Amino acid sequence: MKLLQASRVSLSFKGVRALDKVDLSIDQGELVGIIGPNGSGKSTLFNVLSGIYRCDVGTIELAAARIDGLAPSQIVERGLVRTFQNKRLFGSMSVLENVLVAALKAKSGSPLGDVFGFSGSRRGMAEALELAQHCLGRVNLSALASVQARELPYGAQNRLEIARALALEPRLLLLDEPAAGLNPAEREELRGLIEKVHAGGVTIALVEHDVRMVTGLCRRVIALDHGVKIADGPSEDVIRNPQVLEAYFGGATSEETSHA
Amino acid sequence: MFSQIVIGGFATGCIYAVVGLGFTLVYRTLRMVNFAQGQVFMAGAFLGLTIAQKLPMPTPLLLATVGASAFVLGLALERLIFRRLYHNHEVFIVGSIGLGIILTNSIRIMFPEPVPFPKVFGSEVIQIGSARIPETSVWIVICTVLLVVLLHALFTYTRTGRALRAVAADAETAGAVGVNVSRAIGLTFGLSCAVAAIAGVLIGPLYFVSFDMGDMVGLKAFAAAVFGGINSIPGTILGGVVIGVLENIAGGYISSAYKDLVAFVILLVTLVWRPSGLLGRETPVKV
Amino acid sequence: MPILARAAVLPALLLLPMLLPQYVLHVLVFILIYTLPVIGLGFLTGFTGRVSLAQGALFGVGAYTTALLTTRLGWSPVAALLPAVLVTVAVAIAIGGAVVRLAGLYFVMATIGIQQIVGITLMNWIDLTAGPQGVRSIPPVALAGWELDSTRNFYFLALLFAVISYVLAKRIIASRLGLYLRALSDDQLAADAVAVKVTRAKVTALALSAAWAGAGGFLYAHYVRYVHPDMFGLEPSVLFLVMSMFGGYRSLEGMIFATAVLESATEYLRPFGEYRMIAYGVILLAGMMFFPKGILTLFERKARAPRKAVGAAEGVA
Repeated sequence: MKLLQASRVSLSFKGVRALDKVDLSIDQGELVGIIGPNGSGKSTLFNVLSGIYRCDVGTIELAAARIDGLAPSQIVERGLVRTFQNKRLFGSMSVLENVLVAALKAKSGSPLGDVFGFSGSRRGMAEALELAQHCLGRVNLSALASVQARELPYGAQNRLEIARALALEPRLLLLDEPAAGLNPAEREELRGLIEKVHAGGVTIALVEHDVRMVTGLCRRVIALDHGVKIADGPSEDVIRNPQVLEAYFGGATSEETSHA
Repeated sequence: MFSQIVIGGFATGCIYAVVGLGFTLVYRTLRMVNFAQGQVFMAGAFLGLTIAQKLPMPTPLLLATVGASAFVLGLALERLIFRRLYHNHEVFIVGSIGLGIILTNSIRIMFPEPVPFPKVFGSEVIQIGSARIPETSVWIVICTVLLVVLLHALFTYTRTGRALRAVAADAETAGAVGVNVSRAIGLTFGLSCAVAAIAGVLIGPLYFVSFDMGDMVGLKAFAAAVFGGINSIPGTILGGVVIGVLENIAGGYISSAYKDLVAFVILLVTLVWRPSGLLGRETPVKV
Repeated sequence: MPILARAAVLPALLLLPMLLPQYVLHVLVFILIYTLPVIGLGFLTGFTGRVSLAQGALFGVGAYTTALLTTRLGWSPVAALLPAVLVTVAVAIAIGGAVVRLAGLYFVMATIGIQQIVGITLMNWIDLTAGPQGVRSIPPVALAGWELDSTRNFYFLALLFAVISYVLAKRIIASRLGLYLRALSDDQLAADAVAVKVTRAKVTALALSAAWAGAGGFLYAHYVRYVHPDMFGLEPSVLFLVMSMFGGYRSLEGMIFATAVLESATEYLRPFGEYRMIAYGVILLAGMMFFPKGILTLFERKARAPRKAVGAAEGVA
């Protein structure tokens, strides 16, 4: 079943084509990788999908319902969740609170109910708390639950970002360079985490520079260059695709890609 | 009658424009608003008053002296005070308000009552068509034009001026190419205080000067800068003049009581419809 | 605060009228009254990351509403409380609702506009407000036949309001709205990305700040029994702002403490006229220069050992 269908998505900034007629379709249950050199439009694509930017041309459908033009919070409510490349955490709030904010999505109750102790609100808050703690457990952050987010070491911040995304109970999760800045041990851990989340039934699209991680995790890879989709298929084929090699290395041989 | 109202409004509008320039200069460089600006305007008026009374001199020299003194004061204030307020907008605003309060009340101690200002621009009444305009108003407009031309020349043809513009556009890059950013910021403050003080001397002869004259003028000049575009110099001038004329028209034809409302209604409407102002540019937000 | 200290505070506060001289009690009443607009402003400053210079004007709207209802229409003060609050909220939302979604600096600018517009209207809409004459002879609050027309009696009403406002505010901050506000003030884009309804939260914060201001204005009008436009200008707006910022951005206790300290200082310095104002300006300026995050945060930082996440605590693969 097709979960995401983006057709002919184009976006220009002051005359620069950031995205040029990009077609993208993702089936339910897939774990797709998106690669491309810097400036190829990967993050821009995510920004368009998640509603931060509005594309000039094109349509985007999530489970056959149009989402282009919707506000980011509306898109999130429909189940499309993304993480940010430059970790946008709520620095002054604790780790648990960061996830709790997300976990409250679509839970029963209201601020008024919280203040006066209505049962609907108490139930909703309790459910959110349980979900938040569960998500923290899945990313191994339970021990740091009461630490202020801005005091976290980098690797933990990364995991918090993912925990927060999970708390939104996504149908489609867009991970924007989750491995950036991680050491090899942390990357392995992240790999395992992504696999676990995927196995739990979440469709995932992963933007990553670490081509090895992408090919290790994803059976299907999409490559972008200068806003144009230049390849879309099985990962082993895509990384050997001459156009992709040209984009990354300017014409290197297939041997050199294995060092990526 | 109408032309009198318009021309009169034009003159006050020039005052708003010049004081507003101070806001704009600081905002362009620091992205902060200095709420002591109106009080510097008022202090300039009193400085001009004191000099004119104790040490009579030709008016252009008076303007230059007041301007230069205020410039130095601006430099000193930046180095001693404003520099420590750059943490965030709120801190800067509240801190500058505190400075303004200090200025207002220091002057208040020395001059508790409104005082007449010597007629340094002459006291003739000029007839333009059916309008009878005090000579001072004409001089206000002339001086404003001169000031704008001088500033333009400064920013376009001198190295210092170009350095100031560079810092206003992109401080980091300017610093990287060797501009002394900290000195540029100080100079910008000096300039903003100088123009405000000169405006104080310009308007002095039209009304009495009093310790609280800076409050309203400061706020309206601020509204003018936002309306015209707080990061645009021509915008601020335009905004000041438009507000001056509109409020005079409102005062003359609708009700003098609500004249003051004009500036602030324009401010609110601007912020809701086009926050960057008439001639301002939006600053994009990056994700 | 340790439990024992907390439990002792309320009875102590109730006993004060018997122990303190009239003048001190008078200042205390003002402190209690001012905690309302200050805490209200705290919703915007500490929790939404917005500065407002209109709180003094909104405080005045609440005061004038009850003043006019009780003197012109003969309403009993108790009946005028709810309208005072509602009118203040309505004014705030009507003029400010559209601007609350703007970036921080633009919002401050807009609140300046609001402050001036309200002030000018209060002064010039003579038919409604009697303009520069002000509204005199505002009746005292009467509860079950007992008129609260003395400082001693009014103190209990003010204390009641202050306690309720504090408890209510604490619960609001602990609610999901508090979470949403803190999130959006940390990173609005991220808050949006986790389905926080940002604009709705901001407007709610604005409404809450206005409600608290209106309630405070109500108290003020029935204590001082005379209102005049000059009482609600930029000066009280700045005063409330400083009180809400000085104690540490998000600490209600800090705000109350700052209110007590600054109001006492203002009263103590009152005989000194302009020098008082200069001292006040110096406090403002020095405070912002040297304690930009609020004075109380100094104490907080020393009392609590820094919580640094140790690398070893990080989850091991």
